Amino acid sequence: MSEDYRSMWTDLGLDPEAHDTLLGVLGKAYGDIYLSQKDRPAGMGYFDFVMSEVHGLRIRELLNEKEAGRKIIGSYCVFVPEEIVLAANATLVGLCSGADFAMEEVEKLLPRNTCALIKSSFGFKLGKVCPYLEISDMIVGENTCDGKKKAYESLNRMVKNLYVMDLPQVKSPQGRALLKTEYDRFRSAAEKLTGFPVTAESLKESIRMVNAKRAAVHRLSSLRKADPAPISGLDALLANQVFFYDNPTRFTESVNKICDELEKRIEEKKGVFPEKTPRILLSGCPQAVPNWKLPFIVENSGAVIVGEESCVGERGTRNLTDESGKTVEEMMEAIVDRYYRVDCAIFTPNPERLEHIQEMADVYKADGVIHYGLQFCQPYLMESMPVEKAIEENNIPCLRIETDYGMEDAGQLKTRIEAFIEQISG
Amino acid sequence: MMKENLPEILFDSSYVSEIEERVYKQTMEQCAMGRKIVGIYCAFTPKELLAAADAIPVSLCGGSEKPFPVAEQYLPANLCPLIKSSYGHAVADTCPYFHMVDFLLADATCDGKKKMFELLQRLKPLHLLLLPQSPVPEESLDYWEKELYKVIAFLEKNTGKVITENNLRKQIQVYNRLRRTVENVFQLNTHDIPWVFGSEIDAITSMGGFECDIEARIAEMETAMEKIRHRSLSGRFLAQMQKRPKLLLTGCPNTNKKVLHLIEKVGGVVAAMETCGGLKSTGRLVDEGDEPIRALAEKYLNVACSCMTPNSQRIEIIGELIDRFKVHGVIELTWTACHTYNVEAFLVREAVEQRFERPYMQILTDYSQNDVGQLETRIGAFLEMLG
Repeated sequence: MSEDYRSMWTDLGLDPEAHDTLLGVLGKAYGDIYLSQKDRPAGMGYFDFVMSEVHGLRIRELLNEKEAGRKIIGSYCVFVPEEIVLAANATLVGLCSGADFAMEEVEKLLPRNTCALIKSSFGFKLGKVCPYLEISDMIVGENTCDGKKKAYESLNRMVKNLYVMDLPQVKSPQGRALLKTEYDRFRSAAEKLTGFPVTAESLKESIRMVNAKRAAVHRLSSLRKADPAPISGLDALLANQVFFYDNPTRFTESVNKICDELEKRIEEKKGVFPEKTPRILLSGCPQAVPNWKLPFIVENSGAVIVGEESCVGERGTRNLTDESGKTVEEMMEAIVDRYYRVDCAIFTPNPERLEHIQEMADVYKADGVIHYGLQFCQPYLMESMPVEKAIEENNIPCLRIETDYGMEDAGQLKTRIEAFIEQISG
Repeated sequence: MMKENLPEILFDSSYVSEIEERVYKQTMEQCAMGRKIVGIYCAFTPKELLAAADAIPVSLCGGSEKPFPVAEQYLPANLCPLIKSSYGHAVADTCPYFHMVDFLLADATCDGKKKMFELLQRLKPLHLLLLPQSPVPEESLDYWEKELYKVIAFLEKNTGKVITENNLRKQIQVYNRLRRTVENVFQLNTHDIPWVFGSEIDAITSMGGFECDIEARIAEMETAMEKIRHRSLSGRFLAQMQKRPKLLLTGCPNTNKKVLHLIEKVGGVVAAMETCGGLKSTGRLVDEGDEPIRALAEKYLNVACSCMTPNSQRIEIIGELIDRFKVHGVIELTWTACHTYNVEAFLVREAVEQRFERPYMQILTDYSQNDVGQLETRIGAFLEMLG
């Protein structure tokens, strides 16, 4: 990357040496994991470019937006409604991270047995390596799981602009009312930050824009039903990851372009893996960039991932926001309705998630389900056992994996996954 | 074991056993007359409502590691011991209390409990109380008050009794008196030389299982206090107590007494406990002048549990207890995999060391005896440092 990025990073307060280290690791991992794949769709070239410029050109773009008067809002969760952010003339970026960094510093602030995703977010702040975090005018934390909820109390001392959003824990009229109150409060906070009132027009436009982005991802997901699979799980995951960083309109166009290409591939019966390759549905915790560990192992062990039941995946992107509202109030209600359906394990009970897993396994013709749990993530680990039981009762084999961002268990995971794939292909 | 180590100890587990036996018998008789038993898991549950519906509350938080193997067939092994113990007892039907319970009231506090209740409700009728996650916003109180109205409806339906305002006001008075009595027991330790061991306080203030006759328990606590006062007249006893550093124990509940007992075995006195069963729950009374349900909502929303965010009240309570009990140091007990107390411990340590200027030690452990030797050494070193 060019020198002028270097001064941009320094101006943002990043630690140049640590940041170089991170980019080095990221670049190498991307080369080893992504660029080594065979028969990738040509359209993935766009995502290769995005990844190569994820801390470069995209940050420059965001800085330009800021100069032009827009604000940047960073978030750690799919419950933060992008529609409201865009309508208030701000851009939403995802801040969850998928690599261990500055762990020694992190463990002075957080218990060692905190999930890797939370520790990583702290590490990227303490290690001064995340331009998205530094560029954000507002950072939204949300009361989801215990780990995040309590970690924000400490994060609040490390950043000046943390905004905490409360969330319900139960789907009830009261729970929905709480979500509505919180989204109204967030809308006011976003308006105050940007100085732009959310209007019926701007909200309508932003709902359309975010829906288009989701629809493109839905289209991509749908094409993964084909056998042979026209795209690898790794590449599809990447698209879902870039969902959180890229310019929404450009993202939508790029995903649709890939879909055009995939449709042709399907017609020609062309795939990234041979026909009848065992098909895996991944379900559980989110995988943030550059956490590609599990799909890499799976797809190098003779199986293909055909869907992600995850925040970085269908849990995050399914369901559109109703576009028919005329007033801000009507559209706010529609937004609440849409997000209220997100079936995160922080909800009790959470039967919709199990239904969705079963539906996905069916639609994507999965031969097996791998439940992906991040170590110490209590909500998903608690659900993993009932999920496994229910899925297996439906005669779909399930493998429960509990892991973190480290590579120490990669060998052991590969052995277990290979055995599982052998079992489901039998 | 404890009698050998603590001088002139008056109240220990045999004292609690006697109460348990008496209470158990009483409860059997009352159940035969139609009183219902309600299992609870948390200091957020307003027991006044249960008592006003003529039901008998019983706390079901487990303190033993015995049911872990059975619990781990259903729950991740890496979960807090309190949750594993409670669920293991329930699912294996090895807890006589759980066995006798007619129904459960459960608070959605931490992730672990909340998700465990999803499994528990397959075993007994369960009503979930939806706690707000923060006591700060004004809406939280209204929200919580509405939850209490749902509890009332649930109780009335399941007990067949009507909760009248008079009855409720009466129970609020009874439970306030209980809180004041427990406070008074602790108060004996505000002298420079402590009068009573923390393990004794734990025994004296134990509810002994079923809360079927609070008035009788209050009277027993009063008698116990008389005995403590009498003992404190002994110069020899006080001379022994003077040698012991005074400690505040804070953090997770003492469902398992391992750490509480170890601290005193090694030579300290737990003068005060900022825990669910201790001073965390008693400091604030229910306002008897206010509309009763609103007053209950206000009191219980302000339990300074780490599942709340922010939970700055807890830091304030700790500071106040440090001053009032003139403690030399603070020990925080965190049960393994209790994320909320564990994360919050960072803020507690900072406040204790920097703002209140007292030494602080966190003990992260579970119910097993494996680390007892190591803990003894650590606690011993901490006490030595306090001088």
